[in-house]
Amino acid sequence: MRKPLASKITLSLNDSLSDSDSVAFEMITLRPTEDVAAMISGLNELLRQPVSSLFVDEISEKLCDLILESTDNQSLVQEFFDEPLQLGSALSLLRSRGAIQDVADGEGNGLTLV
Amino acid sequence: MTYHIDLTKFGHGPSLYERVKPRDVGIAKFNIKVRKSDLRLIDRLAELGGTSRASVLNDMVKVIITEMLQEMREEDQDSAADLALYVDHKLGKSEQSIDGWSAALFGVQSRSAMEYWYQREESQRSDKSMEIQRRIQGLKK
Repeated sequence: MRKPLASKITLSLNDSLSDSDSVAFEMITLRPTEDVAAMISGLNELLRQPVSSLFVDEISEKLCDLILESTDNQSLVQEFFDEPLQLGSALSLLRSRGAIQDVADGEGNGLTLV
Repeated sequence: MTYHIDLTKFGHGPSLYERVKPRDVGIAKFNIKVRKSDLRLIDRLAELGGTSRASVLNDMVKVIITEMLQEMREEDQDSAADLALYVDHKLGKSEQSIDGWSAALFGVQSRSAMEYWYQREESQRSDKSMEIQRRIQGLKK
């Protein structure tokens, strides 16, 4: 499975990581435990850039992985079928992995669990 | 009764004071960018679990970092070891601490950890590992 964070760190060590921004994202302030804070600080220093954006894809992938761990998560997933799938999001990854699929009904397209 | 302290019985590790004093790990809080769709899912999860979005995200970040270190180790063991040890030193810990990032990377006091640190050939380090070392040295100046 693709794990982008280590790849991004490698890219950063080669000074070639680019940043992107979008209205589709939100900045959340976290107060991490001391060990996580130290790691975040260390990454900030060694990568010479804020690591805030490095977790975007990892969070989406982790959410997707966690959802796929149990069929009990289907009701939670179904709660979000009415909203458009955001590119790269956990729900979007569920579709790209075939866990949810488009279905054509009389009133247009919908999503269904597989 | 009078006592005499035999300093030859003492090591050169961090003092008890060094171990317990509050540490400046560089940040107390940090901003993380999250997809709004994921955030709605996390908010719903937090609501169902009776917790907060920050708690869910903090837990996820720790797991992600731990997995990232393991992935770095598979790709380039020296880089992962350098990063883990650098952060452990910020926390007042060493490669032998049982609750540090080095322990998370290699396992607590594991044979592989000891073998790695004792057998590490400085002359055969990867370019990325050497770059991390250069940056660490630069930060110390």
